[in-house]
Amino acid sequence: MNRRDAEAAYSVLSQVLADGPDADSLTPLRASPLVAAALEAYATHDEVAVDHEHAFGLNVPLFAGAFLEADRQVGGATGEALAAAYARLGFAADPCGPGTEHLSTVLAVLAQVRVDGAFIDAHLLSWLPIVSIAVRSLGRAYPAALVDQIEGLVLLHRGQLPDPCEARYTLPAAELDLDDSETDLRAIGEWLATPARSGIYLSRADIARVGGLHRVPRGFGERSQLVVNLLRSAASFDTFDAVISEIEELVAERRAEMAGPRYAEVASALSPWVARAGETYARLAGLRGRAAHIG
Amino acid sequence: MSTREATIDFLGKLRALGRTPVQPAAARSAEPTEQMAQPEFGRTDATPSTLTEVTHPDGRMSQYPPPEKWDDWTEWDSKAWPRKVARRYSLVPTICFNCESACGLLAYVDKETFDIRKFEGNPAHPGSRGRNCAKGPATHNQIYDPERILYPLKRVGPRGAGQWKRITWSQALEEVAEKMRESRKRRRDGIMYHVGRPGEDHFTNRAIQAWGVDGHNSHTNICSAAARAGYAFWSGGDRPSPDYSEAQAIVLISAHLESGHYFNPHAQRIIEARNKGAKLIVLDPRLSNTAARSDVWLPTWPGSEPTLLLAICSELIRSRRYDRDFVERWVDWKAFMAAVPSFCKDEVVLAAHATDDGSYDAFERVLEALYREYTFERAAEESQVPIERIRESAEHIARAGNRVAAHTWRSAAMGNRGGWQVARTLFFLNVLTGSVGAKGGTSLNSWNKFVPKPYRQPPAFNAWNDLHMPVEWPFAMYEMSFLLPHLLEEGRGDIDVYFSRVYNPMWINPDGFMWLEALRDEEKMKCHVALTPTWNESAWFADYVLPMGHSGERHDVMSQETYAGRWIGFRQPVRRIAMERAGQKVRRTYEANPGEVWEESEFWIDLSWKMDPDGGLGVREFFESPTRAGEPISMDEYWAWIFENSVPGLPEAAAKQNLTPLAYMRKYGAFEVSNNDYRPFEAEVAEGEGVDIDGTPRRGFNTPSKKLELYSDTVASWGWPETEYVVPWSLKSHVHPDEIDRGAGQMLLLPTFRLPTLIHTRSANCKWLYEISHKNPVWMHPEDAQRLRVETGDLLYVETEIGSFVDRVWVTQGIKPGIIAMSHHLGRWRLQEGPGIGAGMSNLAQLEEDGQGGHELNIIKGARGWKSTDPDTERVWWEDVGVHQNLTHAVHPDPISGAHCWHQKALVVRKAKAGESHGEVRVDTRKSMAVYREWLALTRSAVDHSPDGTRRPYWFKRPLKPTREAYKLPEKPA
Repeated sequence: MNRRDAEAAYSVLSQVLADGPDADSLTPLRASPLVAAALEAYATHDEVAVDHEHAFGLNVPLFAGAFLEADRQVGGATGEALAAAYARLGFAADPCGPGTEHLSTVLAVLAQVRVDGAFIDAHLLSWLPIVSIAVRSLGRAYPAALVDQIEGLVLLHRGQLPDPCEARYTLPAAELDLDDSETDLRAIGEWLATPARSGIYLSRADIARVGGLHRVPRGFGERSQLVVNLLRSAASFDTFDAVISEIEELVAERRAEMAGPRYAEVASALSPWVARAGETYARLAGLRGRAAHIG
Repeated sequence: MSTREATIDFLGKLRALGRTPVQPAAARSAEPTEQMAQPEFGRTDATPSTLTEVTHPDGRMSQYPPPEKWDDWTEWDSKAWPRKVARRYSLVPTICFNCESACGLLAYVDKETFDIRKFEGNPAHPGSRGRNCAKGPATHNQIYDPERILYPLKRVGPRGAGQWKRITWSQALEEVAEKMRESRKRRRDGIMYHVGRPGEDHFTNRAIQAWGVDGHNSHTNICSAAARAGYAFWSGGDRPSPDYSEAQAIVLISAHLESGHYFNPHAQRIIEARNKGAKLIVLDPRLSNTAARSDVWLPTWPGSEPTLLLAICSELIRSRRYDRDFVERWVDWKAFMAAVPSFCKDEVVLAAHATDDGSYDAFERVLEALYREYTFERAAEESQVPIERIRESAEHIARAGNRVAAHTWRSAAMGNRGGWQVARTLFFLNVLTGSVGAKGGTSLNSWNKFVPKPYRQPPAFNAWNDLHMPVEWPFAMYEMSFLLPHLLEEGRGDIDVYFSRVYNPMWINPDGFMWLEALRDEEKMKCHVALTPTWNESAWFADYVLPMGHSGERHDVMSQETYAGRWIGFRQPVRRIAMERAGQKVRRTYEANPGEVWEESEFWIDLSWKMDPDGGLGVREFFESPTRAGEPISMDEYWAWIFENSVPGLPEAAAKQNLTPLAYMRKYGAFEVSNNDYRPFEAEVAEGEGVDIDGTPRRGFNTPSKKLELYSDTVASWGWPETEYVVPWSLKSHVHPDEIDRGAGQMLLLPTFRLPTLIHTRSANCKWLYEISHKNPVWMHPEDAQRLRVETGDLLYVETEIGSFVDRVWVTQGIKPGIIAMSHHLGRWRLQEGPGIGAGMSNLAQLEEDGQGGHELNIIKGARGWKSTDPDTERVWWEDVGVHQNLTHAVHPDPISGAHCWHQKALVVRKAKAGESHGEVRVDTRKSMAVYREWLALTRSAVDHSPDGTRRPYWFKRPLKPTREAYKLPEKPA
C-alpha cells in the first residue's frame, strides 16, 4: 500500500465523516468500489445524507468514549489518552473539528502522520469493529459501505505494519451482579446499553427491532432509557424471556462476527470484546425466567 | 470483489485522480429574488459559554444560557456538527404568537448579520418556564417562509381574480384611513375589526375604542362561547384557571396534555401533579394522547357529558361528601330556594321544598331531590361509558377534597347544542368540592391573568353594531361572528371597512362558501383589508393585503392564566432589539423586519393618525406622544409608560438591577406580578362593598348577587325560565343518539379535535410542522368500517346537511362506534400556482359555481415540492394535505350562548364511488340559509323577552363594552 495513496484515502474518509456527504465529499468517495456500488441505490444527495444521519447521528456515535468508557461518555480517560497520543505524534487536531475522540479525527491523524501498529491497535481496533458491526446491522447501503471501506483500509494498513497486533486497551469491569437484590431492570438495562461493559453495542434500531418483534414498547429517551423501557415493558407484558432470548441471539451473532474471518488477522486486538460478549451471553441465559424476581 | 481488493482499487483510483485533501464547498451565491432570503450567519473565534442548569419541579434538568450573557452569547453551530464552528448571538426574549399560551421564546439573533438562527424557550418566563411545543421553534419557518408577504398589496381587477400590485405603505395607509374617516363621520358601526386569536392584550382594542365605533368582532363564537357562558352564569368569570400542579384530581374535557388552550404550560403542570399522585380523568369520545395517559378515560357520547357530571355531583350530594361549609357560605342558595316553585314541577322536589324553614338543611334536602334523577345508571346509559368507570371517577373526585382542577374550553362545550351546560355542570363539581379558587382547585382566569391598564384609555363608545350582537342572542359570548355572512344575506347591514386580522374567516368558520359570497360582495363588504403575514383563502378576496409581523417582529404584551399567579410577557421585534443593542438606530420596526413588514402596534398608530389628521374626530389624541407634542407616540414611549405605571412590582424589581422597567422587560421578556393567588373572593372589602359573608363584607364574584349562582335569575328573567336552563342540568344535543339514525347509516361527525403541531390556519407555511402532520383522515371504528366495507386508506364520501366531501378513512379503535372524527387545521387550498399558501401545504384547487348557491371545490393536485430560496421546499415528500371539511358544515348557533355547535350530522357515510376524488367538496348555500333559519327559530329575542328594555344583561362581559345608553333596544330593531 502506497503511503501517499493511503493518506489521500484517509483524508477523503475523514472528510466525509466530518462534513457529511455532499457533492464535494462524495465525488472522491466514489473511487471506492464499495461506496460507489452502494450509492447506486440513491437518487439524490439528500437521500445519502439522510442515511448518513440515521447511521452516525442517530444510531451509532463515532466517538471512542461512547464505546470504551464505563459511563459511555466522551471526555474521559479515552479522550485523554488520544490527546496524549496526538501530542506525541505532533498532530494538532483542528480546533473546529469534531473533537479528539471522533473517528474523523483519528482518521485525520492517519492521513497526516506516520503511526505504528500500536496506535492503530490502541485507538482504532479497540472500537472501530464494534462501530462497523453496529452500522452494518442497520441495513442501510451507504453507511455500511462507508464503514466497510474505512475498516478495509485500516485492516490493510495494519497488516503492513511490522509490530504484532495485540489488545492495547482494557475494557472496564462488567459490574453487574445478578445475585444482588439491588440489581433491577434499570441496572440491567444500563449494563446492556454500555458497550464496554456488555461487549456489544445495541443501537436504537436494534432496540426497536427487538421491541417490534415481540410487540413491546420501548418509549422515548436516550438509548439506555430505551433499553430499560424495553425490559420493563417485556416484564409487564410477560415477554421478558422472549426478549432476553432475542438479545442473546443478537449477542451471539455479534460475537461470532467479531471472532469471524473478517477480523482474523487482528483477532488478538479484538479478544477483550469477544470475551466480554461471551460473558454477556452467559449472563443473559441466566436472566431468563427471572423476570418475577427483578424489580 | 473482497473488501481488501476493493480497498486497493480505491487507493489506485484516488491516485489516478491526483487526489488532494477535499476543499470546503464554495459558498452558494444567492440569486436575486423577490422571495424571502434565507438566513446567513457570521463566524467567530470566541469560545462558547457555560449554560445554566435549571431544576424543574418535576425533577428534569435543563440547560439554558444565563440571562447575564444574553447580550453576547457564543455557542457551537449545531448544523456544522461534528465540526466546531462558533457563532455569536444576541439573545432576545419574545413571546410566541402561534397560539394563545404566550409562551416565552428566546431568539438567537446573529450579531453580525442580524439573521435569526433559532427560537428556543425563555427560562425566565414564569408560565412556560423555558419549555415550548413544536410551534414555538417553528416561528423560524414563518419568518423565513419564502412565500411570505413582504410588501403592501392592492387588488387589481375584480375581487378574487388574484391580481395584485405592490403599493407603498403611505398609499395603503392614506387610502384605508380615508375610508375609515368617511365611515366614522357617517356612522358608528361601519368599521369592523375581525380578529382570530388576538395574541396580545389591550393594544388593538384600545385603538378600536379610540375610533369611537362598535368595531370589535372576534372568533369567540366558534371557539369558546359555550364554556364562557357556563362559567359566566355561575360566577361572572368566563373561563377556568386550574391549579393543576397542586391538584389531586384533574378532570379534563379536553386533550390538554397534547393540544388545547395553553396546553404547553398546562401540560407540564398536569404532569407534575401526576408525578405527585394526582388522578387524571378525561372525558373524550376520542382516544386522544391525553386520554391515553389518564387514570380514567370516559369516552362519552357527545352531549352526554352534563348527565355524567351531574351523576357525580348527585353522588357527592347524596353521600354528603361535598364541602358543605363552602357551599353554604358562597352559593346563593337562598335565591335558589325562593325560585324553586317557579322553575320546578317535580313533586318530590316540591315536597322537599314544602319543608323549607330557611335553613341550609332544607336547601340540602331540595338539592338532593332535584338531582336524584342523575344516577350512575342513567349516566352510563346516556354516555355509553361503563358504569364502573363513572363510579371510579366519582371516588377520585370525592377523595381529592377541594383539590379538584377541572377544565373545559372547546370540545364538548362547543360541539353540542346546550354545550354551555357542559361548563356549568363541570364547575358544579368545583363548587361542591369547594375547590373554587383553592390550592389545587380551579380559579377563574381573571384571577390568574394580568392585563395592564393602557396608556390613556379612550372612553366607552355609544354605539351598537347589530351585525355583532343581534337581538336574538342577548346572552351571546360574544359577537355572532360566524353568522356575519348570513346576517348580511338577510340584509341586516353592511360594512364600510372590514379588517380581517391574522384571520381567515372563509376557511376557519363553518359554511365557508357563505363567506366566499359575502367577501366577494362589494355592496355588503365595501372594503376588505387583510392584515396577515401569509397568504390565506380569505385574503385572496381582499382589496388590500398588508403584511404583519410574526412573533419576533412586533411589540405586544400578553398574559394568560397558567397557574395560581399572574405574569406578563413582552413580545419584541427581536432583530430591532438586537440591532439597537449593537448601537444601530432603528426608528420604526419595519426597518429591521424583512421586506416592509410592519409591526401592528405602529400600524394602528399610523392608521389612526391618518384617519384623524387634524384631531377633529377625537381619535388622534390617543395616539400622541406624551412628551413630543403633535407627534405620534413611539413604541419605547408607549411600553415605557405601561411598565412604569401599570405593572405592580415591576419598577421595584427593575430598580434592584439598576434597570428601567422597560429595560427590565426588554432584557427578560416577562415578569411575575404575583403568585400563590388563592380565593381572592374571600378578600375583605370596605363596608357596603362586595357581599356579606357571616357578617364580614367580602369581595365575592362578578354576578349580580356577588355569590355563585346555582340558580340564574338572569337566565330566567330573559325568557328561559325552565329547569334545564336556570340551574346546572343536561340539555338534549342536536347530535343526541335520538337525532342520529344509525340504522339508516347516519353518523356523528366530530370535527373539533386538534393536532398538537398546528394552529388553525396560522401555522401554514411552517415547513417543520407540516412535515410532522399534514393530513386529516376520517377516524372510524372497526365496527363501522366493517359495516361500510372500507379499510384504512379507502376514500369515504360524507354528506352533511349542506354538502359533502370525500376523504380517506383511518380505521381505529380510538373512536366510538357511530362517530367519525376529523381534525381541523388541514385541507388548505389555493386557486392559482405561484406565491401564496405554500405548494407543500395546500391543494391546488378549482372552484366552480352555478350562480344559484351550488359550489364545487375540486382538487387539481395535492402538495408537491417547489423551487424557492429555501432548498427545503424541494424536499416535500407528501401529497395529502387534508380536506377542508368546514366548508360543508352548516351553522348551528346555540340559542343561549350563541356558540357554533360544531358537531355535524353525517347524513350519508359510504365508500366513495368511481369519479369521486379525494378532497372534493360540494355545498349548496341555499341549504345553508335554511339550516341557519331552523336554528334562528330556536332563539328567544331580547325584543320579546328583555325584562328591562335592553339588548343584553349589562353585567355580562363584552370585549369592548359600549355605554349603558347603547344597550337600549331600538324602537324598531333591525
